[in-house]
Amino acid sequence: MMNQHQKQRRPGRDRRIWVAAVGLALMLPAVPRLHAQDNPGNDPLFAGTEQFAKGAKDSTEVNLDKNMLNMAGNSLLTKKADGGELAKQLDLVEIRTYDYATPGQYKMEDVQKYSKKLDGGGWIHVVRERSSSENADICFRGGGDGEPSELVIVAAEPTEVSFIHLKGRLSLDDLSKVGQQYGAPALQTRPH
Amino acid sequence: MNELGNRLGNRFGDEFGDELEEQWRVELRPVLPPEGFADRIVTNVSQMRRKRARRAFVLWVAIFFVTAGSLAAILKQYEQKRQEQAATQKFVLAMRVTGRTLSLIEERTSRAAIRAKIKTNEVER
Repeated sequence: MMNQHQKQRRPGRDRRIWVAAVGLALMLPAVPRLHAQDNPGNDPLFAGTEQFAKGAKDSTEVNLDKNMLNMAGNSLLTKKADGGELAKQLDLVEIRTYDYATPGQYKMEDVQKYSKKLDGGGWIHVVRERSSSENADICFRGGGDGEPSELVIVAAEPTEVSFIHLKGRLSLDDLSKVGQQYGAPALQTRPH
Repeated sequence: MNELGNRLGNRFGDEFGDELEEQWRVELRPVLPPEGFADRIVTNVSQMRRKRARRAFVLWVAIFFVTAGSLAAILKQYEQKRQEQAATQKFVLAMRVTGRTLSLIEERTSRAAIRAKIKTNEVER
């Protein structure tokens, strides 16, 4: 009698388990990945800069797309911290920096290959500095409205190489102010 | 029954007591249930059980979906918060690096300008 009773109840229980399993399976894709990895930047301007990581003591790579910049902007604005507005104005941030313990760990010609990419293509050089041990380029490219919409910085020192690409509504003053807020030295902007 | 009939008879008269006793005897006689009564009871009981099981099943499914939904919402919020923090840290780092690089370049160009000025002055002399 007891067995019969149990047998009668089993199909219901099985069905419940099945529904639970199917429900869970359906919900799994909706559950976000807890440790999602950021997509590596694939900026054509900086393609191949990984070569500078060889022999570097430290290397920093920052890739932020519009979505992440919006998130950062919202977060900074909520905390009433500086840079929130700028983060929201930007569409892309790609940064690569390589620090070396001693000079001579990279070839200046390799850096200049990237500087050459900024000759033409609508880039306007604000700073172009060339020497045997140092190299610096600060370039702007305007948007349709004549306002600068892209900034590229390629800087090489004996023990450091930096590639910076920012897209969006920006100005050197904004960048300097925000950089200062986060510990960078002050930029002496002068009227030309 | 007789005792009750006697007591009622004592109170309302014997005739009323007898009548009442007789009426009760007729009314309370054992009767067989109508045909199929037991089957109907069994059917009703099993239907009730099935309904109860279905209700419990629906309730569990609802509980499951509400729990799973809440869990998914919490996880999504957690993930969003984590991404927001990571994005903020990266942005702050990016601005620091950009600011520092700009400052270094500015320093170098200033040095170069001063050197050029000194050279010009020397030539003028």
